[in-house]
Amino acid sequence: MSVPSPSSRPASIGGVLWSRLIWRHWKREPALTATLAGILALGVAVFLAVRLANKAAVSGFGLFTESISGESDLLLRPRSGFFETSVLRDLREISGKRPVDFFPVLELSGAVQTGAEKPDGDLLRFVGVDLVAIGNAIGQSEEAGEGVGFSAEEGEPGLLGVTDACLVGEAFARARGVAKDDRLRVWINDRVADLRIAGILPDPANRPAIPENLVLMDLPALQKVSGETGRISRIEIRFPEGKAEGGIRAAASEGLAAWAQERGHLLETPEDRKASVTRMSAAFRLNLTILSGLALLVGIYLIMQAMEAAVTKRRGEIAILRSLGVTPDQIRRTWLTEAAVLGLVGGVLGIVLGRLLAEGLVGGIAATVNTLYYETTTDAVRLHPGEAAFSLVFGLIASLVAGWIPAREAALTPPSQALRQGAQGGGLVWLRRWPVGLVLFAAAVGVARLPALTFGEGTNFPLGGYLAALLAVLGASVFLGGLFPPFARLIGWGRGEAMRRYAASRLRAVGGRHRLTAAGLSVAIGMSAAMAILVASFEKTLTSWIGQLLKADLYVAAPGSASVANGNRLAEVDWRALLSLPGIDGADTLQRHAVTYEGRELLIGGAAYHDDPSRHLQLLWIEAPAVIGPDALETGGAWVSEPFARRYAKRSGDRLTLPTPSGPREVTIEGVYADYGNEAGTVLVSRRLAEEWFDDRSVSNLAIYTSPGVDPEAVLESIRGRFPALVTRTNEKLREESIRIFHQTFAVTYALEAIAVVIAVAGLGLALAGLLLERRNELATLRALGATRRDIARAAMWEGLGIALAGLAGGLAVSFFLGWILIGVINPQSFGWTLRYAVPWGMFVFLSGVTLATAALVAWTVGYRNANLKSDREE
Amino acid sequence: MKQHEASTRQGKAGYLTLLGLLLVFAGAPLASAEEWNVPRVGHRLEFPRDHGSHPDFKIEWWYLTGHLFAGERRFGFQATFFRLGQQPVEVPAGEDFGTEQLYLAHMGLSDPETGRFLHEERLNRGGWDAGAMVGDLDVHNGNWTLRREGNDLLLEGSIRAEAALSLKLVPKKAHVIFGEDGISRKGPEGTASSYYITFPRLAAEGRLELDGVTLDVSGEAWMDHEISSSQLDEDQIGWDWTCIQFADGREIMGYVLRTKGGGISEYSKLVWIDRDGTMTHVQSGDYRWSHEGIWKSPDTGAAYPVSPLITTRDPADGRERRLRLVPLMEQQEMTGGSGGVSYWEGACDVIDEDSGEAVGRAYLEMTGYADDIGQKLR
Repeated sequence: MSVPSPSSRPASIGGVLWSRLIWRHWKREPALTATLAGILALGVAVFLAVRLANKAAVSGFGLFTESISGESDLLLRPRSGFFETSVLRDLREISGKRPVDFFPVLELSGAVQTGAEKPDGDLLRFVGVDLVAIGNAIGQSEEAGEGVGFSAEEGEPGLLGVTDACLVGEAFARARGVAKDDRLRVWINDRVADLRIAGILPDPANRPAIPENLVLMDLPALQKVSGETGRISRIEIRFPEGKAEGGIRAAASEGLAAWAQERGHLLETPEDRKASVTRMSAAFRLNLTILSGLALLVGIYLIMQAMEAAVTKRRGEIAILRSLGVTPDQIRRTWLTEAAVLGLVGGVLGIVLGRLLAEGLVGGIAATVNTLYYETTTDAVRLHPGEAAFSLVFGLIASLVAGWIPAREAALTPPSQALRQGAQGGGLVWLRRWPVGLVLFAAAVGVARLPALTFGEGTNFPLGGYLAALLAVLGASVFLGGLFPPFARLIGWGRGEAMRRYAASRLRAVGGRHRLTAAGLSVAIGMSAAMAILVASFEKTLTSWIGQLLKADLYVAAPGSASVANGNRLAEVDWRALLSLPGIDGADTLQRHAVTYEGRELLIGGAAYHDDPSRHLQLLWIEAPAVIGPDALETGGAWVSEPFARRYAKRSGDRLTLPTPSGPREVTIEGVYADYGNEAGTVLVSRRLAEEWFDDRSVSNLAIYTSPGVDPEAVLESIRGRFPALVTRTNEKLREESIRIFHQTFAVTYALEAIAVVIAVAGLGLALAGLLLERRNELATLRALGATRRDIARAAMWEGLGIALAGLAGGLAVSFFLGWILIGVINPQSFGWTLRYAVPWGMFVFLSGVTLATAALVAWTVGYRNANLKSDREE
Repeated sequence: MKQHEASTRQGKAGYLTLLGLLLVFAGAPLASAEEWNVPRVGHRLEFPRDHGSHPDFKIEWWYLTGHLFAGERRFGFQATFFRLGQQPVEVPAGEDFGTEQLYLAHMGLSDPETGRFLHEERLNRGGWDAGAMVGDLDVHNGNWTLRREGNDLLLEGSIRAEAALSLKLVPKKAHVIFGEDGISRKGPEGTASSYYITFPRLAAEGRLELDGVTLDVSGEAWMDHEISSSQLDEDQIGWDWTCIQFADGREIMGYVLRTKGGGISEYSKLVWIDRDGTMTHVQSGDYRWSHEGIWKSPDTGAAYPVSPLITTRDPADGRERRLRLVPLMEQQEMTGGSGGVSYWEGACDVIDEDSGEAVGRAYLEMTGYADDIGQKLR
């Protein structure tokens, strides 16, 4: 044997330590190692999946032209309403000789009738662009001839000069099973149009895919079909490329900015626009991301538990190595390397899994964003390298955090330690002091009172709330150590059978690993139960709100009204005609206008209420106005929704300056009402006022009261017969719809919680397997004394139940506090919603039952499978 | 470098899928000539009215080419405004987004010192961003404009963010009207003809912004204004055209119309313009245009005879002149974008083949080499 040179010595010792302390054990227990890597992988996967799905779900967000015509340099849009096309000539004039291209865009929502199963139709985005001018950027490309994917045959009707031609993308055609020359019956505003698909646009190679709900038309044709004659939604501005680009851009931008500012219009880059739009749903997506970290948090406890077990098990070997001169530092490094390798393997697996998982989440996230915030289109899920790296690092950190304390403990092993295996020593010292848990709890309560961090433009981040939640979870995981003795007594109660008492004795003298396993479970249960409290509270609040709000018999809306972003309207002539149908006593009418207020989207509502004092819309008040009644708004005051009031810190008596097409308008807030329908915020004024401000007599929604004795269904039929483009629902249907949408928004949340609980229960099985392995001498003795395999399984089951009970009790206990933080701190601060606290007892019973049953089953199986372990003396 | 420009533009625009849309339009059956007005024998053109637009004709263009000098540097430029009338349509033309007229425009700059040929094409519907006034010369397409102010013509143009051109053009000679009886015939059918009005020599003065430098430029230009409803006969596939400005103050406008069989149409013409504007028409059999100096376009693959030899009798002394056009650079091909037509339009020197002396400057235009232009303009 050669003497290693001094320089190669540390490396070779590291190698020896690695193979001696880690690799050998991994080889011996591949299932254990694989499970640990699997837990990490799942944690990383969920985290990454939510982040990727978040990205993909809000990628489209409304600049639909991007996938068709590439990104513009600047966007010009009115603060509210539309531009008249005449502004285009002004823009050309102010840019003078400079080569600036202006592309006007009219963007409207509408629907296509696809079948009876979707009475609302299928929400569509209509984009009108000048199909001739938009080709000019091609002319600037010197490779213009390439990429042509669509052309018409000679003699076909063209796209220009007709009002019924449209283009759709490949995804649209696939999703709806349509082909070129098929006809689409669509609704735009209160009109029905019969469009011919003049072509299917292929997806561009290096741009976002053409959204699945996009219908492209020539601008004047869309103006005519929709009745929005002479109107455009925005103007996209491009500067040509070339050596003078910078100068042209600077000079033209300056002129445009001055022009826009003078008229109160908004000039921004697409990046700004994207940021400001996606900011609207930032709170929702952040909450989701934080929840997605839950699985990883549970994973940390389980890894810690497993590594703790490994330290205990390999204590003898460490002691020998220490006697041979290996330093504590080398031992610690070896252990941390193990954690890092596990983290890497789990992380890489997690990235693959997360990418797949993201596909399943996109739809759910997009549906919520569409309902609550703005129209979005999903992009294909892509594995962003940055996100993957971030998740990998996150998984690695989690794994190192989990490995830190066991590594320290391993390093502290004295060389002279008795070589007794399975020593009960070790364990996390702080975990054994359950009063520490109470201290953490107290800190959590304190932190929860911190005000939200405020970023610009009304974005709040409830840092205190999240910190409090973390402290509470930590506190619970420490505190539940104190629950083992009583639970042990409970399990060992009475004379009972031997195996139960055997299990109870093990639970009376629990080690750190019992505690860590229970802690992992308590985190999963605690967060899940807390979310259940949130959902229940939300549902209770929403139900009573809907009950208060929905008093009318029929509800009529322009198509696509399920989305907040919808801007469709009924022309005055139509809604007046509708209200004169027989059987209608009266109606509440509402017109909605999206405006930009302090950089964020805001809805201005113009309401006119049914003049019957007992039958008109009754809002749920947060701050009630002095006068409530059908005419209360007619004096010129405004009511604001709670999310608005919270975001901008406004209250009754405050004055507001609102942007309108007829200039800024000032109003006084007279009341604040609860609104769980949108987070953007609404300012409600009288319809008369809104009509004047926006020079618009259309309405977006009608709540109809039928005459006494008239069957609402009959009126509904007559409305449908006369106005097929409108969405008409009975009171009952609308309630059902609202609850359905509500549950849909929480669908993703449910999935994330389920994953965390699954991980925790898997961790329980893992921990028990480790414990049994350690106790194999004892098990062999028990078998020798006549215990059957089933007896051992039963003992394991009782022990597992004990751990599960501790975890469950700790979890449920902390969930009440977490629920309070979610409802009392995080929700109001990030969404502006006041909710009534409700505990879903049934759900808790169900969760407890499922957890205990699964834990018992997993524990029994682990016990049964390990009952035949040979004593190491026989090895 | 060109390759690089193209790729960055593509990355930014990503537009290409839409190109086909324009083909939808261009490929749609254009109205037959019968529905459009056609040039009539004996019709008297009046000015300035007839410098303006004639929307009852299907095809019209205002075509400026010229030679500019800034100290030692020399440039060629082209600025063309086309009007293409469309069939009457279901939707009446809106004021802002019309459907009755399309306006195509080309701008080109030849910079022989660097070998760069910059060009840009635009296509817009008649409306807020493109149009042509009826009654006087005032056409615009995006930020490009050409209008009459008193006796002068004012041109503003640009090529992407690479070049910008601002010129005042003062006629050194009154305009001339080509053709017998006021109409220029292109084929046996009366419909294939045009009113052809030309300013054969314009003094040009103004500014050229290039590479971040503003150059004071001056030189001479030529402007055609053609009004027609069909420029080519069924049998014709394209043309070679030139305008020569001799140093002695005379000019030649000449073209050969190429037929499918490879021959030259008898409707080809060559016209000498004397210093006082007197025109001498030369019929197709009495001059020769030999296609020489083939240059093959790397972009379209088309083979252009960029250095033709034109043989014609000088009306001043009856002597036969052999005039060689020598392009300032070979790459002066205008590759079609949304308009879909590629052609060669470039600045040349004119060399007397016998004496070897430079006797003038010319612009040479060759169409129908890359694709069948007749389809678009018939």
